Amino acid sequence: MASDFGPILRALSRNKARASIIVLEVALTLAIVVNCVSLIKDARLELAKQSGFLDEDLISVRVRAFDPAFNEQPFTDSVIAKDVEALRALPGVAAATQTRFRPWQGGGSSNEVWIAGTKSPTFRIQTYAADGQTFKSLGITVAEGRDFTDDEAVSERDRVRAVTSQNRPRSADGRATTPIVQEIVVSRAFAKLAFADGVALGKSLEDSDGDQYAIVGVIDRFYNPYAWNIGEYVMFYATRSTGMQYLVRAEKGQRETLLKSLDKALLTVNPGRVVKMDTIQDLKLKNQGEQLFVVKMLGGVIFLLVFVTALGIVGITSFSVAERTRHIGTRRALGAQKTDILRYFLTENWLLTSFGIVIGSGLAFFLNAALVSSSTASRLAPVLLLVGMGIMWVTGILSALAPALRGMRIEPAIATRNV
Amino acid sequence: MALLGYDLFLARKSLRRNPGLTLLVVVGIALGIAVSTTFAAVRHAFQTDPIPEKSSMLHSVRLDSWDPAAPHPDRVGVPPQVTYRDMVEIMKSKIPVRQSGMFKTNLYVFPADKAQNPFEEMARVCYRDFFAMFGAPFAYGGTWDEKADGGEPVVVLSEPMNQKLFGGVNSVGKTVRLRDRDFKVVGVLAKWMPNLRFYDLTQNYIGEPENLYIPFGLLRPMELQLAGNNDGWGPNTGTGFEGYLASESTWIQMWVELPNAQAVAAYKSFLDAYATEQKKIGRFQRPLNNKVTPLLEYMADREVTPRAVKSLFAVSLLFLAVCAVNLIGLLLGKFLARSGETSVRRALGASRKDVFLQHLVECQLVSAVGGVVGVLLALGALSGINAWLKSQTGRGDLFALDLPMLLVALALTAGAGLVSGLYPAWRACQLAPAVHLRIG
Repeated sequence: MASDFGPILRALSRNKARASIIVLEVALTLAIVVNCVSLIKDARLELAKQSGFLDEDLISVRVRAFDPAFNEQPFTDSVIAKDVEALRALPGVAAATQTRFRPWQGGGSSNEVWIAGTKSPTFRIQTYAADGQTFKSLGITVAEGRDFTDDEAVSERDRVRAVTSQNRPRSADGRATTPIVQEIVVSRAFAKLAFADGVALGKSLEDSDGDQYAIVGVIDRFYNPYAWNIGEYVMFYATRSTGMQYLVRAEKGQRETLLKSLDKALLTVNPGRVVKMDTIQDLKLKNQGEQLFVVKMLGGVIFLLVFVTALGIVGITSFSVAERTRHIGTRRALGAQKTDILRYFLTENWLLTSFGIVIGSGLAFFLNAALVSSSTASRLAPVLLLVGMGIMWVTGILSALAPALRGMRIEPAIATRNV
Repeated sequence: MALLGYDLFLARKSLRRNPGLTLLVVVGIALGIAVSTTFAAVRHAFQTDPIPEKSSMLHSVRLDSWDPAAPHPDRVGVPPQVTYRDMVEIMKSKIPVRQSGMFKTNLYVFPADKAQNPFEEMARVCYRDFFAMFGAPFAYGGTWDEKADGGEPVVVLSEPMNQKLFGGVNSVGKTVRLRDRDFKVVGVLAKWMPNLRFYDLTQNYIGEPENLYIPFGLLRPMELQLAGNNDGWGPNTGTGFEGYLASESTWIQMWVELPNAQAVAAYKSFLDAYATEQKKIGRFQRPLNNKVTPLLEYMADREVTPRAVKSLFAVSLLFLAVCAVNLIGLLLGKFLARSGETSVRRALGASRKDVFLQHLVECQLVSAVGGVVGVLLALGALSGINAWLKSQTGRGDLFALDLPMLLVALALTAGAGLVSGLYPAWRACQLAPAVHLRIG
């Protein structure tokens, strides 16, 4: 093979244009493909995130009332209680609860807190109401500390309503003089963010109203996309909220059946309403729409790009073979084997591809630097470059194979024939 | 001219001689045009000026009423929306020609036709200036009067909503029940479908405009609940709905129409004076940072064009570059492979220029065919992307090959043909007549 290098290089130097086209094409393709794969990897990282809950069994139910009777809060409260009962009684329901929280809805409610009694930095954290059934409905258990109880949710709601239903006396800094203390469950990621030792249990947070939040439990995993990078930080506090929003967890395989019966069960409780249901998987699909789009589009571009480059190599090598028909015939007549001819063209192609790969590697890092500085792209992993090199070598060899085989079959007699 | 006809004849002949190779060349350039045109059109949908006749006059208003302890976490450090109390005060300014604070809310619609079920609908709560400001055209009636801004139950319907409720007839003067009261229809919009919901870029701005518009003054009597984003900080100073209105929660999009630079400057100093005044009562404790931003600049500020779309567009241009290089290689091979024929032409008296032009015409023919195929492919790709978007947002007509995009495709095609053709054509016209004749 090495003995071919000399003649190949001399031949190439006489046809610089064609050689440099292959080199340039391979280099550009490598640089683009590697960076696209890197962008796909970034998007996949986002797509691979887990909410921490049993997404595939969950249904979010949102009910809107148009019956004026619902203007009275006690009436609404009583309907909510009956709704939850009706939901839990449905066959195929593993757990159900009233909560405003929906995994993967993206956004929600958040608050700013700091470690109580300190001048710690403030942390923005998602906040949602929960009761004794919330974590059960989400399909998880509290990893550390304790879960809430249903009674607690009701008594807490009544207690907080009593305090906030009138103007709270406040000191000069705007904080209420009688702060409310509530018990909360936080995510492990928040515990690690806020407390140097990562231990949150037994500690307290405070907000700008002066209200305090005592941490009684920690859940292992949580993710709901939210602006400001607070997707993994959450506190759940015990209360019954006011809205008719429910989260239902179906028993395995029962979700589709439930989607047909849920709304009827609720309308039996009170018909003056409209029921809207979403599976959490649908919410997730919608939420990740942009990432999915990017992955699909970039995947398509990579495929087409490699395809176009392959077309180019096929074409150029074909010309190269056609042009040297007489030379090949002469070589064959002078005793060269068919495999010598095949090897010659494959080696020539390999040399060009390799040269392109060397230039393309540098170009890839250059392009990546531009992407990193102009968007949220991450740095190029060297292993990706290796994979890209592999793809280009294989593409190069495969594309050159057909024309090279054609060259191989050229008869020695052609050397003596006059065109 | 006759020569051009002859060149075209030669080009066609040459392309037909080796159909396999011609296909290779055409497919290569068609894919490049298809991919780059597709992503140019996707990007274009986000970057088109939604209201070119007055986008420079429409200004978004942002006030830095945020927490003294830390800037608002948005990229620009100022909340994108304003508080209710600030909106009420700055709406008193006489400097803007038109102005409106606004938000969106969910309302129940009870059709007069009892056979139809009540349904939930997103309504925009705004001032009477909204329609003239954002160029929403009326089919019937018009906006409500100034008095109604204070909170009269009047409504403007979109064209689809008028179709749904009244079968598309002139419904001005009729009533429609929204939640718990009867609203009088004062106006019906004609078809209005701006590319983006550009008047509210805080949330889900890809979508169709709302179907109901009601006066801002109904906020208090109906205790309208916000359906958009709400960023808040600081203690709640009151309770209930009034407490919410008095709080530092920012949830209203504020827009003003300022006709010229003087008005912009005057309005800016009005805002700064307001903020300075508020500092005296302990609010606006951050450094003065109020923003009056023209629409297009505001769209850039809010990063309306998704980053993914920008990256994909950049990638697609690189893709086209590879296709162009590919084309150079293939044409070069093709031209040099028939150098014998070219030499004959030269020997028979064709000048270098003739040969050069002949080859360039062939390049242009190839890329023109590739361009047509590419545009067809792009149409297919865009309809696929539109279908996907419809499943995501309910809007299925965002991306289209309009005239500017067709011109872009044309420019890309001609450019690719020219750039790729120059070198091979030049090489072809350098061939000496004699050498090849001898071999032949």
